[in-house]
Amino acid sequence: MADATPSDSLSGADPTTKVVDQPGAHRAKPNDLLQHARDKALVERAVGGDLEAFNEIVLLYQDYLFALTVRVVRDRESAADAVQEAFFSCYRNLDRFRGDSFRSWLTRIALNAATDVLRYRKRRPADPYPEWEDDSWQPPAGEEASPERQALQRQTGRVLTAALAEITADQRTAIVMYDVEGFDYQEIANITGVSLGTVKSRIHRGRLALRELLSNDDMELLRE
Amino acid sequence: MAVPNSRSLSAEHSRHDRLLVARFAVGDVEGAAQLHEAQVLVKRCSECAALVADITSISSAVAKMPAPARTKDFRLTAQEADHLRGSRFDRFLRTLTGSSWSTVRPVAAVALSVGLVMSVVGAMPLLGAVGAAAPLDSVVATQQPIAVVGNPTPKSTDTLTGPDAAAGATPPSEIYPVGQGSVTALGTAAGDNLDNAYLNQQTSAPELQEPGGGVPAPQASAAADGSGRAISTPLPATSSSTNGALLVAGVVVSLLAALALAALYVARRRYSDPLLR
Repeated sequence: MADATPSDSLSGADPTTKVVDQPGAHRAKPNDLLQHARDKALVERAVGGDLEAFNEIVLLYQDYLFALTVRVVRDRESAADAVQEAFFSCYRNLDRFRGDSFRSWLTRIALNAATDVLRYRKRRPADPYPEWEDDSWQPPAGEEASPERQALQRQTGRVLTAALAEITADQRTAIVMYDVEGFDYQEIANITGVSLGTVKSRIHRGRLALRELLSNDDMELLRE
Repeated sequence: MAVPNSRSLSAEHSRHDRLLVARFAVGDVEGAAQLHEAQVLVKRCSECAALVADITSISSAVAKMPAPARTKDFRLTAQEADHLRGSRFDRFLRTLTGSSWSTVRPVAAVALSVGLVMSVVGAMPLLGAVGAAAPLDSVVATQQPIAVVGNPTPKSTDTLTGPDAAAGATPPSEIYPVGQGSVTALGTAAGDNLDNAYLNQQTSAPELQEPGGGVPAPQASAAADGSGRAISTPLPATSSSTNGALLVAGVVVSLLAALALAALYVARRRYSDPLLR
């Protein structure tokens, strides 16, 4: 019973019953092997000098990497630079890729690039987060969404983005990787080079910090 | 565990383990005791229960955050690819920074040490001869008044190198035995303390005397080499060649190891990628 979810032990209208489908929690990844095999084949071709193969890799991962990086650095321009550097580094060192998950390897490179951006900003704090209050860069809601719904989504995104900007970079990275990108604890630990316990601690403390930062009105907004 | 009633628990919410509640909210509590504690907190404390709901809402909302739109295409052009690949030399040095070469550095360091030791051991006879030459000089200097060389002049230190190098270990009396005719007598105060037997055999040999009373010039000893040699135990030729081979091998190994270390250093300085940390 040690690892039981709250829904196992609590009954009725307990609010914790929602956590069964918690995003990022113990995701089953049936396509992982297929994805690894595909990536390996592309990497082998790219190492052999096939630029098209590498650009296929770029096409597969550029959206994901940009989305991850922009959430960490909170600035599209810096995120684009970081992702570009990550792909450059990836191309230069493709023959040094070892292991099963190319996605994890690439993510690690991109996060290192994002960390460098954050360090640079820390040294030069002028205008550190130029876009964090500007939701114009948020992607548009689906065509089918009503104007009210779109406005609500924009508002939610702005509230969360602002709150995420306030927590530490380590916590933000861990939360985004877990909740948004779907990595499990162990993968995050491997990518960020910290222990499993540290990853869990960052995620849980980060969520608590987010709760502290969000007002009750904001929470109502998130629940809608 | 004694659990206070819900009223007092709510009043004490600030003292509750909120991290435990946050872990409980996503089913991340380990251990039956902690699970029980979290369950009790959530059941009896309305604020802890609300916190569970908030944590799950936050987690869900973060997961649903729309992905920011990409601002550019990151595919590489052929020119960029060529530039990134670099020359063959660049690629080779970049390869050296890889983990597969990480063992080369300690191996090269050990090889450098071994090579240096081999060089030193191989050069020992030479060093020994040079080392022996220094005291020999001083002996000659102190014994110059009676430094008698067989025939006709004393053997200089230069002649002690090579196969006869082991002579450095021989006492000065063996190197400079009393000769049968030519005697160097320098008539200093030190000479007064010398054995009479030596003194009795002194004869005047001004043509061999150094002007300043110093060591005889090499050319003089070279000229005298032959009948006046008194070096007692020359090393065998095989030992000498072995030492020579050891010296050469040591120097070669040291140079190669130093070269490898230098290449690794340059590769690390110029080509290691900080994003692969």
